[in-house]
Amino acid sequence: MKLINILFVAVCTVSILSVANAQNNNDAIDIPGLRAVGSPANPKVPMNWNRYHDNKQIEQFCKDLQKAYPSLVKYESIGKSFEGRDIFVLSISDFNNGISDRKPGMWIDGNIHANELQGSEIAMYTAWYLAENYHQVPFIKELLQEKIFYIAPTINPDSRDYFIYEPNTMHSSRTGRRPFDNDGDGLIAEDLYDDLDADGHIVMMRRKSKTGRYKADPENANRMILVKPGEKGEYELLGFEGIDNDGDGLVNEDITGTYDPNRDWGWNWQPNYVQNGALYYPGTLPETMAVKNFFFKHTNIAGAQSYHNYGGMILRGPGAAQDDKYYSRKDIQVYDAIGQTGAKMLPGYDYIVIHKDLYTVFGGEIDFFALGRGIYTFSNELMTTYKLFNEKANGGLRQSDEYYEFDKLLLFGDAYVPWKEFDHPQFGKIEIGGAKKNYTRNHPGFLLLEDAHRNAAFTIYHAHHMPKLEITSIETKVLAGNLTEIVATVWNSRIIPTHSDHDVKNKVNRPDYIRIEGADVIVGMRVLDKDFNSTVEQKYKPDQIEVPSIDGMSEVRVKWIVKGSPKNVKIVVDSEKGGLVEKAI
Amino acid sequence: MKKIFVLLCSISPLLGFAQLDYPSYKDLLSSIHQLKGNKYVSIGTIGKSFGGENISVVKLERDPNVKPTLLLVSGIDGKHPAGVISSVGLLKELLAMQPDSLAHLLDNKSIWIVPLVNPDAYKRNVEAGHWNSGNARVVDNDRDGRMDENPSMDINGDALISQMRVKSIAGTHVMHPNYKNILIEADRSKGEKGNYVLFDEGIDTDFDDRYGEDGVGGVNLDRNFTFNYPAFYPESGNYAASEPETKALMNFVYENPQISTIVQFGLTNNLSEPERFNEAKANERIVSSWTAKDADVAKYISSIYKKISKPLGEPTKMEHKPGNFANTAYYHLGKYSFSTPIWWPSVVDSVNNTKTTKGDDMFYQWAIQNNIDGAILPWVNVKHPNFPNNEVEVGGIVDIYRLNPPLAYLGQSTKIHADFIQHLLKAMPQLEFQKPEITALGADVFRVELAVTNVGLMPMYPEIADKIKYVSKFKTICELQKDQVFLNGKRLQLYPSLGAGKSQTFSWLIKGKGTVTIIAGCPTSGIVNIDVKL
Repeated sequence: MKLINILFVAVCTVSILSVANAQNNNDAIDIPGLRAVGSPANPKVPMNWNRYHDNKQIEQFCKDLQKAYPSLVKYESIGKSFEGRDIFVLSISDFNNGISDRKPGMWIDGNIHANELQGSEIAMYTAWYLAENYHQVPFIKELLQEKIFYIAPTINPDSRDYFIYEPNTMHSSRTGRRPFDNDGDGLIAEDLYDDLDADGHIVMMRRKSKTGRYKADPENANRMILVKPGEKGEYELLGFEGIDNDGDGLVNEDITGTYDPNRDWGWNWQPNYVQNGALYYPGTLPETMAVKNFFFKHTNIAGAQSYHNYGGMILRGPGAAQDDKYYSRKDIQVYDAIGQTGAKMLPGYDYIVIHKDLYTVFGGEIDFFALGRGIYTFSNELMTTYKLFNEKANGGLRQSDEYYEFDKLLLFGDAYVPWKEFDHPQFGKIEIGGAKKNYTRNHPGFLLLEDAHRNAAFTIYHAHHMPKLEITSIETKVLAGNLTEIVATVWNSRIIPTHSDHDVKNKVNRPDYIRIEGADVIVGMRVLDKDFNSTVEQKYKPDQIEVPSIDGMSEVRVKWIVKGSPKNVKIVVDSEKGGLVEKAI
Repeated sequence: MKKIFVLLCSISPLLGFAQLDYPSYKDLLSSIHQLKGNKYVSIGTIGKSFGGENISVVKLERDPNVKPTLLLVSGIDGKHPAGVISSVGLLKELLAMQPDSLAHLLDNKSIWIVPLVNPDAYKRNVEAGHWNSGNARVVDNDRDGRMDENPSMDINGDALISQMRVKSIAGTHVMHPNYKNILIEADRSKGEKGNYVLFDEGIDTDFDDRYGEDGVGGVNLDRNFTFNYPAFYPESGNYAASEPETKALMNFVYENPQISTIVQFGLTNNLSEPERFNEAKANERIVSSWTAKDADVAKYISSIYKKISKPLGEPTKMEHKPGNFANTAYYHLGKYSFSTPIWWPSVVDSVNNTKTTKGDDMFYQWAIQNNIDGAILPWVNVKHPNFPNNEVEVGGIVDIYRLNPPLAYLGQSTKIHADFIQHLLKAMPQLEFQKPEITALGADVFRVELAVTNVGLMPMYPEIADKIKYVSKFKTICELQKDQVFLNGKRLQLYPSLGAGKSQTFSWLIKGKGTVTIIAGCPTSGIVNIDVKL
C-alpha cells in the first residue's frame, strides 16, 4: 500500500488523484523529501502563485478550496459590486472546534485599488496556505482551532476585471466602475483613455521637440531622462495615450472613476476638495458598504490587514495628523510589537505611520477599522524596488533606473512596449511606448510567491497575537454565615488586548463579561489589586461582571460572594474580540 | 377646538395634561397627499427611512422642465415637529395664492419640499406623546452594550416626560425668583447654595447615575450628516451618513443639480444671525467658515429675513451642532443653506410695550402668559426607587414646548415664512445674454463676442461649490456647424460662479459661415441659449 502511495505521489500531479490519495491517508502528509519545508508538496488545490487571476478564477479558487477542505473553508458573498459582481469572503477556521464566529477574527482584504492586483493573490495564498498546512503544521492547526480568518481577495471586483481586460496604465483603474462627472461640465465619463495603437496597453506619448526637456537614455532606449540644465533635449512628454474626446482642450480628463474607494470609509471622512478621491459621503459605494456591514455583523474581528501596492511599507494609522490623539502610548506599544517584527519578516519593508511617513488620508479604510471599530490594523504596501536586486534603491522610489536594468537582465524586455510612431489627431506625429501596466507596481511573477508567503506569515503572526483568553484559576473560600467567596482569574496570553485603549476610552465595543452561572450571587466586584484587597463593586447585574478590557499578557480578577456553597458552578468569559471560554468548578 | 380641549383638561385634571395638538402620522400624510389635486403639485419619494416609511418630496412646479429649484426640508430632528407642520402649512399658503401670482412665481423657478425627512420619529413620537430625536434604529446610546435598557419614564403617570427634582444638601439648582415651577442653576459665584438636584424624569435602572439616558429614539439624523460629524457621540450613529435617511437626502441633492438654495425648518438658526466670514477658518484645509463672498450673500438674505420675521419677536439664539444638515448642505453639498426654527416664544411686555425678557425667561413668560397647557407643570411628590431617602418631585418644564407651540401659534409664522420663501425665490440667480457682437474679419473669419449677465440677486451658486467636484459648474458650449472650425476659443469652457449683477464675456474666432448655437449657465442658474448667424 505504501509503495503504491509513493508511486502515486511521485508520478501524479493531477489533483483528482492527489485528493483521492489524501483521503485514503486520512490526512495529506507530504513525503518529507518532497516537501520543501513550509510549502505543501502535494496540495489538494494546485495553484500557480506566479500569475494573476481574474474574478472568475478567484471564484473558482474559492469553490475548489471549500470543496477540498469543507471543515476548514467556507466562502460566501457579502454583497454585490456596482456592476453586480459578488464580493467573496473566505472564512478559514477549524469549524469542528468551537463556535467559529465567536473566535477572535483576522480580516484580510486586497485589491481595493483595482490596479494593485497582487493583494488578491497574497490574500488567496494565505487562505490556501492555512488550509493546505492544517494537517502538517501543528502551529497552523492550533491557530485555526482558536481563531478565524475572514479573507476577501478583492473588494473591488468590477475594476479588477476592467484593469485586466481593458486598456489601462499601471496607475489607472485604481477606482471603481461607477461613472461620475469628474470635471463639473455636466457630462459623465466623456473623455476616456484611448488605446491608440490597439495593443491593450496604455503607455506614454512622446513627441520630437526642439524645446523638449527629455532625451532617450543612451544605455536603455525604453527610458526617458530629464536633460541637465543648459543641455538641449530631444523630446517632450505628452502624458498617457489618449485624445481629447469632448473638445475642451484636455486629454483623458474625464476617465471613469477618478474616485478612490479608499476614501469612502466612515472615519474622519472629508469631501473631495479636502481629500481627493472622496465621493458624496462615506459609503457612497456598495463595495465599501458591504465590508462595513460585515464588520458590524462580525464584532469578533480583532485584527485586520488591507493590502495595497507599492513601496514596501507596513503602515499603521492614523491617516490624518489630527487623529494622532486617538493613538495612546499603550496602543502604539502593541502596534510596535507586531509591526517591528513584520519589518524583519519582510525585507525591504519599513514599518511606518500613514500621515507622517506617506501622506494624509481622510476617510480611509484603515482608520475606519482602527478608530471606528477599535481593531488593530495594518496595511501593507506590497512590492518594493528593494526586491529587484535585494538592496535599497539609490535615487528614491520613482527616480530609480533599476526597473529598466531589472527588465533587461531578468525579464529580457517583457516589461516595456518599445517606442513606435503614431499619427495623433491633435498632436500630429508622435511616438508611443513605455512600461506595461503590470510592471513597476505589480510583482513580476517569480517574485510574487516569495512575497505572498512573507506577507501571509506576517498576517498569521498578527492573528496569532489576537487575544487568547484562559480562565487560569477559580478559587473558592467558605465565609461565615453560609456564604462562599469565589474569585476567578482570566489571563490573556497574547499581545493584543480585548479592547484597544482607544476602544476603552470611547466605548467602541461592549465590555467583556465574566459571568458566574449556577450560583445565587449576593455581590460581585472587580478585583483591582488582590494583595491589598482593592475592589470595585458592580451594583447592576452582579452575576455578570463587566470588565473594560483584558490587556495583552495580563490577567484580570473578579470576585463574587454567593449564598451557601453551590455545586455545579460555571464561569463564562464572554468577550467580543477575545472569544468565549468557560470553565466549571 | 383648542379652547375646548384646554377647558376639558381644566375641569377634569384626572385626564392629565394636554399633549401637543399635532396631527397623527396618518392624518399628516393624508394632508400631504391631498395636495396632489393641484395642477402644479406632484409627489414623489426620495427614499425610505430605517423603519421602512417613505420619505416624500412635494414638487411645486409649472412644468417638468428643469428649473433652478429651492429645496425646503423639515422634520430632520424628531424634536422639531413644528417644522413639519409649518412646511406643510407653507405649501398650502403658496397654493392658496392668486393663480396668476403663483404661475408667475413658478415661471423660471421651482419649489420642492421634503416635509418629513425623519418619518420614523414623527410616527413614534406623536403616538407616544414623548418627543425623541432619532429614527427607528435601535441604538445603544450610552455605549454600554445594552440596548434601550434605561428609557425615560413617566413616573407620575401624567403621560408627559418632564423634569424631576431631588431635594438634597448637594443640590445644584434653586427656584427661579419669578416662576415657582422653574428651577435654575444656583450661581456659586454669588454665594448661592443649591437645594435641588435636577434630572429629566426617569429611573436609573442600570445604576450608572444617569436617568433615561438609553431609551427608544434611534439615530438623530441631525447628528449623522458628514460635516464635523461627532463620532462616539450619543445618537450620532455608527459613522457619518450611516442612516438611510441621511443618504437619501444627500443623494437627492447630488442627483438634482438644479437645487440651488436649501432652506431648513429645523433646530438651527442662521437666518436671524447670518453666517460670518472667518478668514483663518476659511483658509484651513478643512474649511469651516463661509467664504467672504458667500457670507455677503448670507448677510443680504438675513436682512430680508429679519425684516419679514420682525413680527415674530426676538428669536431664540441657536448655533450649529456637529453633524447637522444645515452645515453639511453648505460645506459638503455646496448649496446656500439657510435654517430657522420658524417659531420661538415671544412676549411683549404689556407695561412698557418693549421686549425686555431674554433667553429662557422668554419661554417661561410666554407659556405662563398664554396659559400653555402642559408646557410648565407644578411639582408633584413621587416615590422614587433610586432615592428612597429623599424628597423627589416631578414637574417643571416639558422641553418639547420650547420650540414647538400648539398648532394655533404656528399660523402667523407659516404665513411669514411663505412670504420669505417667495422673496428668496425671487432673489435666486437668473441669466440673460447681452446682444452678441459679431465682427467679420474677412475670408469667412468671424469674431463672436458675447456677454451673459446674472440679473438675479444671488450668485449662480456659492463660491465654495467651485471647489466641489460633483456640483455642476458654470459652462459655455459653442456648437459649430460641420464646416466651421475654431481659430480661437474652445467648444466647452468652465467658469467660476458668476455673482449677482456680474457679467462674463466670451469670445471665439470662428472660420466658416453658418449659424452657431451658444449655451451658457448651469443647473442652479438656468441655462440660456442663443443662435448667432455668421
